[in-house]
Amino acid sequence: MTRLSMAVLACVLPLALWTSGTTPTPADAATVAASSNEDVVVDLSRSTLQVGPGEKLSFTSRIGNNGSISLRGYVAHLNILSTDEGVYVDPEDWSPKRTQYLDELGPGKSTTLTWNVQAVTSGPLILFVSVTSPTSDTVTSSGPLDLTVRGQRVVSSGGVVPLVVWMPAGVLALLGASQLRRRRHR
Amino acid sequence: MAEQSAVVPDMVGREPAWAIVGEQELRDLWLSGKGIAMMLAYTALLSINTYVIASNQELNFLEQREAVSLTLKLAVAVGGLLVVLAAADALSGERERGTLETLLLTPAPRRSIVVGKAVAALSLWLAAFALSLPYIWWIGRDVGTFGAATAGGLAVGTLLALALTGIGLLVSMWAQSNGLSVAISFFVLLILAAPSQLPAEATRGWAGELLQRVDPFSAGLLYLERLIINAHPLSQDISLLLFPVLWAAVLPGGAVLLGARLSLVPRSSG
Repeated sequence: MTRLSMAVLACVLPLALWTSGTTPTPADAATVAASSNEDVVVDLSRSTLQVGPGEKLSFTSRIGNNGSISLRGYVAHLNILSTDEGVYVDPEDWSPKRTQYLDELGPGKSTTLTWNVQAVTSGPLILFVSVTSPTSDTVTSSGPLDLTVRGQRVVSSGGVVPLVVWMPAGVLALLGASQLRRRRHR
Repeated sequence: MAEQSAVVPDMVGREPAWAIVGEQELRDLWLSGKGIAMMLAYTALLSINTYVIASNQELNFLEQREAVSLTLKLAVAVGGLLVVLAAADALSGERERGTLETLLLTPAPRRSIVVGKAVAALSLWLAAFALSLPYIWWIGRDVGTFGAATAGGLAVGTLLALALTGIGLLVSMWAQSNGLSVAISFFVLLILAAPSQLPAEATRGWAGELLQRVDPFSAGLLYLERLIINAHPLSQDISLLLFPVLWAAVLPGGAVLLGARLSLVPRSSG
């Protein structure tokens, strides 16, 4: 029995030590908690919006400093994503200017940034603005802007074959006629 | 040779000399089948593009206005390519085939020869644009973009075609060989087209915006994009066409002016 208990202990002890290593320590928990700066407030001017494909939209974000020290070198970034797995979103297509650098923001002050977006593909989308400190140790995000881009008109494939076949065929016939004409004139 | 042409009147019979040269060049281009063969390749390309847009699932995500814009830009860009190739071959080709001497001995002033060659090169663009219209109509038939696409495409394409004709003729006048002339002209076309393919980030800032406006390709294609995708009126972004208009006047004008010094020996070896 003693041998068996020792064998079990030998197996369990390393496992227990390994598990304790992956459990968040108080220091890790502090790092996670510090990832959002409560002194920074980010609000969007709109919370829902519905547009058609290709339409341009504009909204603002107010970034406030509720703390007692000035914020320097903060960066605001617009995030665009779709909640539908089947909708591909390339943020660069939607808005070429998604990063803005904030001027120094004193205690109690706020600044407003304007974001211009063009709806590219239809589907349900979420837009939000994140503000990060220059050392990247804190990131504060706004609430979401629920954007719905209505169904888009795509090119219907019906009737494409006659066009794509007959156009070159017509030019080919012209080419043949010009070659025949040349031969006759020789 | 230049002094000889200076005393020859600009009119040969009733018609101006450039019109006679132009007519001859048009006959040579179109009745020989060269121009039609180019149009065959052009329509084949537009057919492939249209078929892929309409049937391919990967590209079919394009909104209809975007599909019209893509096709129109392709039609304008490839039309420009045809023009620059024809213009680049115009004088150096004659020189290499040994037919330039005969042409220079005609009573037509040298500038008229250059203008006639330019007319033939430009006819390729006009024919190409006419052939692109059914595709543009078909792709955008439900969104009412045909009128704007036709007007905008004709304006931008003609400005680019004029500028590219000027480039082709100038290079052709100076190049040592026809191959070199075509290669240099094609390279210049690629340089002009490159900024329009830059990512949006690269067009920010004063340098990016300036490049986008000065480069005739970028400015022209951006104008078309705003016209079709953003449904802007024709006049809203007209300032984008300032530099294309400037290039379309300066380059062919320069080619015609320097055409007075056209000689059997390429200018670069003189």
